[in-house]
Amino acid sequence: MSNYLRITLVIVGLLLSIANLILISKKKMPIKYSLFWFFAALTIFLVGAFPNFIGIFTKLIGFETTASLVIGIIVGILLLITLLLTVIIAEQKRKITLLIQEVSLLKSTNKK
Amino acid sequence: MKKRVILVIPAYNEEKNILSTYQTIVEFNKKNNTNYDVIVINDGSSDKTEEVLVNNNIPHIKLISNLGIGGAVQTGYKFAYKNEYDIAIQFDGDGQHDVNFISKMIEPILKEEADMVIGSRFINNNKNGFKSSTARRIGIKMISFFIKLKTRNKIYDTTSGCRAINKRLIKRFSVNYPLEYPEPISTTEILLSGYRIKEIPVEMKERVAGKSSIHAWKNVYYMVNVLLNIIFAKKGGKHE
Repeated sequence: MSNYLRITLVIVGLLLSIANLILISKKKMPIKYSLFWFFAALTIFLVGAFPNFIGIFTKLIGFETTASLVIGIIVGILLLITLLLTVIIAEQKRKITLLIQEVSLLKSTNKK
Repeated sequence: MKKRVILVIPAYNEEKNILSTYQTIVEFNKKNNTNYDVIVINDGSSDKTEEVLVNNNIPHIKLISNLGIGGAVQTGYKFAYKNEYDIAIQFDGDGQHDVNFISKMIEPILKEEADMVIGSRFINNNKNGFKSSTARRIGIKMISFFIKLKTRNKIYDTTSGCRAINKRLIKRFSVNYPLEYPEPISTTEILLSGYRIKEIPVEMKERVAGKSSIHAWKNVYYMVNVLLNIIFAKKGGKHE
C-alpha cells in the first residue's frame, strides 16, 4: 500500500472523527448512533496507520492488494451501517403509523 | 343481549363509490331491521372523499396521512375495540362487496364456530359474480398453497377483503395487524395462534368506479413478498 494512500486514510479517519464530534456538540448526532461512525473512523485510521497488520489478511481473504482490501473494509462498514439504518427505518415506520392512527382517532372523536 | 356489529370501510380516493356504498348499508338496515354501524376510514384521500363523507354525515375517521390498506383497516379495529363492538367486518368502499351476505358472515361468529369468517369467491361451486383475472386467481392459489403448507389449513380466498372477526380478534388486530399484505399475512398468523377461520361463499361485483389498490398484482414482487411473509410468519407479533 502506497504511503499516499496511508496518509489519505489517516486523514479520512481523522476528518470523520472531527465531523462526528462537531455533529455531537451541535446535538445533531445522538451518541448512540455516533458510535458506529467512531468505529468506522477508527477502523479507517488504523488501516492507514498500521497497514502491515491487515496486510496479513489480504491474500487470506482473497484480495490482490492491501489497497483493495481497504476498499473492501470500507464497503463492509457501509453495508453494516445501511443494514442498521433499514432496521431503524422499519421501527420508525411502525411508530409513525401508530401516531397517525391515534392522532386521527383522537381528532375524529373530538369533533363529535 | 344483541351483539354490536360494525362495518369497517377503508376508503382511499373513493369519492365516486363511497356514498352509494353507505346508502346501500343504511337501506339494508331499514329493510331488515338490522343495526350495522359503519365507520369509514378515509386513508388520506387526495380527492373529494372527505367532502362527500362530511356533507352526507357519514361516520368516519380521517387519517392525517395515507397509511395504506393495513394501517387504515387497523384504525377501524382500534375504533371498534375502543367502542366495545362485538363483531367487526372489513367491507370494501368501492362497491365490490354485497351487504346481503353480512348476516351469513356473522352467523358462525354468533354461534361461536369461528373467530374469523372470510367471504370467499372460490368455494361451493359459486359460479356467479366477479372472480378476478386469471393471473390473480393463480396468485391466490399459490398463496393458498403456502398457507396450507405453513398452517395445515386450507384457505381458498386468501386475499379476500371481506372478513368478519369476533371480539377476541378485534382486540388482537387493534394492537397487532400487518401493515403490508394484511389479508394473507394476518390469516396465516392467527391460524398459527390457533384461531378458527371459516370461509363462506359470497358473490363479489366488479369495481363500480376507480382503480383497485393492488397495482402491483402482476408484479412478481407482490408474490415474493407475500410468500416470504407467510414462510416467516410467527404466532404473535411484537405486542403479544
